[in-house]
Amino acid sequence: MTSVIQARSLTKRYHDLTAVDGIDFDINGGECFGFLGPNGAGKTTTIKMINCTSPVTEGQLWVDGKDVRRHARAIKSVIGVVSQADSLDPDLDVLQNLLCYGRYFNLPGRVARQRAHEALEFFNLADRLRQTPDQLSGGMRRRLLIARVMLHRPSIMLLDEPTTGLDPQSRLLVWEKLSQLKGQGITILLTTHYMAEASYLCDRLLVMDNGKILVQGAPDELVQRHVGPQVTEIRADGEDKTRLIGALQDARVDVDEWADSIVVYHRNGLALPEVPGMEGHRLTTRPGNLEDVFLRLTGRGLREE
Amino acid sequence: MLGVPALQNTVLWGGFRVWQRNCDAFLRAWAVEVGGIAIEPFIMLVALGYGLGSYIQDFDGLTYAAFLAPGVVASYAMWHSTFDSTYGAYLRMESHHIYEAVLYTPLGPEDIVMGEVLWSATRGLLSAACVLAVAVGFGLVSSPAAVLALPAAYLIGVMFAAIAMMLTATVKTIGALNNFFTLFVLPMFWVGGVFFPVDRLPEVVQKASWVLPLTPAVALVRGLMTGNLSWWMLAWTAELLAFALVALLLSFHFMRRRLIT
Repeated sequence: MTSVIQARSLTKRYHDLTAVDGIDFDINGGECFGFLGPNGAGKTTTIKMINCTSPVTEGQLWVDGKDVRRHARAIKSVIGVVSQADSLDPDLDVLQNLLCYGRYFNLPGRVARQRAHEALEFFNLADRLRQTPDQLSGGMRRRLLIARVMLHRPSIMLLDEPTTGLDPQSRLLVWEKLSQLKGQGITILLTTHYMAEASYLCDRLLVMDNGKILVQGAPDELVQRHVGPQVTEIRADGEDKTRLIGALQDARVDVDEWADSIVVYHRNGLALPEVPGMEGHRLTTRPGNLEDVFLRLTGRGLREE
Repeated sequence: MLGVPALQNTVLWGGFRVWQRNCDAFLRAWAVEVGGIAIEPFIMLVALGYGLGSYIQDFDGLTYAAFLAPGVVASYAMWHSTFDSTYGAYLRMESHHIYEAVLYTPLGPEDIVMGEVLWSATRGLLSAACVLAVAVGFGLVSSPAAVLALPAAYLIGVMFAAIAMMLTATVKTIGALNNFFTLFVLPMFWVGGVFFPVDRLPEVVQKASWVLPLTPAVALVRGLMTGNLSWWMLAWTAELLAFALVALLLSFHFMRRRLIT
């Protein structure tokens, strides 16, 4: 597999703030890659460097084999970007929004018109041609934003939180469409706060915090490595909680705590150890998931040495 | 467009694409724009040219209305281009995220500025053309050279739009744009030779007036519409071009600094 986005020691500084701090990653052609991390982790800044709207401070970044410092126009003509802001044009109708975008890519009018109709069909918006964006629902607007960047047939799509704020049905529809686009061979890079989204869509992902990459890998692999197949949550508070955590740590299992809960990670297939005082507390055992990985790495409590 | 990739990579071509976007938006809403572009300068020409003008003696062989008409042509090219490149552009940039969307295409900040300036100047030209047509209808135009007032009005629009974009690219709030009108556009409107000849002003103000861009703009259009042609008109054209070019380059720089961070 060939890598279509490569970063080496990629760094972005704003005055004295280091937003991205020397990260390395490789995104392969045709894969869906996720950027996860809390707000301010550096995800959006990284995306902006990739789409050539934020200059690289230090390090190297190649997109489609080209250096972002020297080939912004060429790179921007093969990528499709859906940013967090709703940048649909309120002064134009749905069809004009697409045709106008096609002109920015110098598509001949006839080609743009044909592709616009195809894209609107694909995103279930074909009956909205003459409406303006403010007449559309949130889910439709998001689909239109994605449809708009399909017009020039990008080989790479960058989506910054593509489903934030959508209702569950709209989110499912966006997932379905993105997965179909991936099926067509388009490389997709997305940021998200929804772990279920990352698990469903991403072949690989990385977790960032404070401008650095904490881990990267396939979602299942990360769950196995950092959480284990199963997780047990124990409801306890006060002295009970402190005592139980001590006992569990003595039994050499990984635990996190938050509010009135203890979370036990069964890594390496370890069963929940029998520790005194556990009886009488509510226990819930469930499969480990990406949310656990994320919270373990970016913090809600104990980070074991 | 075939075989001219070089043209497609120029700022003029990129600007044309942005111009097309603004043109589409204008054509959807043209009915609400007619008042400001056509009716307002018409009212001004009638009220001042004929109303006030009836109290004013002819000078340089011109009725007051014939003297005023070129001033209205030039100043309405200024008003419409500056309004669009300040409030209009600021809204497109900050509220509607239109610039952001354009940046995610092959176009860059310079293409955006170019397109906005070309479009704002087009609005200025539309208004100037309406005034010119009315002036011709009222018999206020005495020279066929008046047809050159249209390209002159477009140049005036480009210049003022480029100047306005310098500010739009640097202000933090939309309210800050008010100062541009209070401290720059309006004073020029009063002392730039629109309503009375600049040589009636105290000498210091006269000199200051000729350094401001509206004065040569009005003088150029007046020369063309009255047929009082002179070599000075070349100098004024050069002055407008110089203002336009410097302002455009500075706007490119400021807009890149604002958008690419």
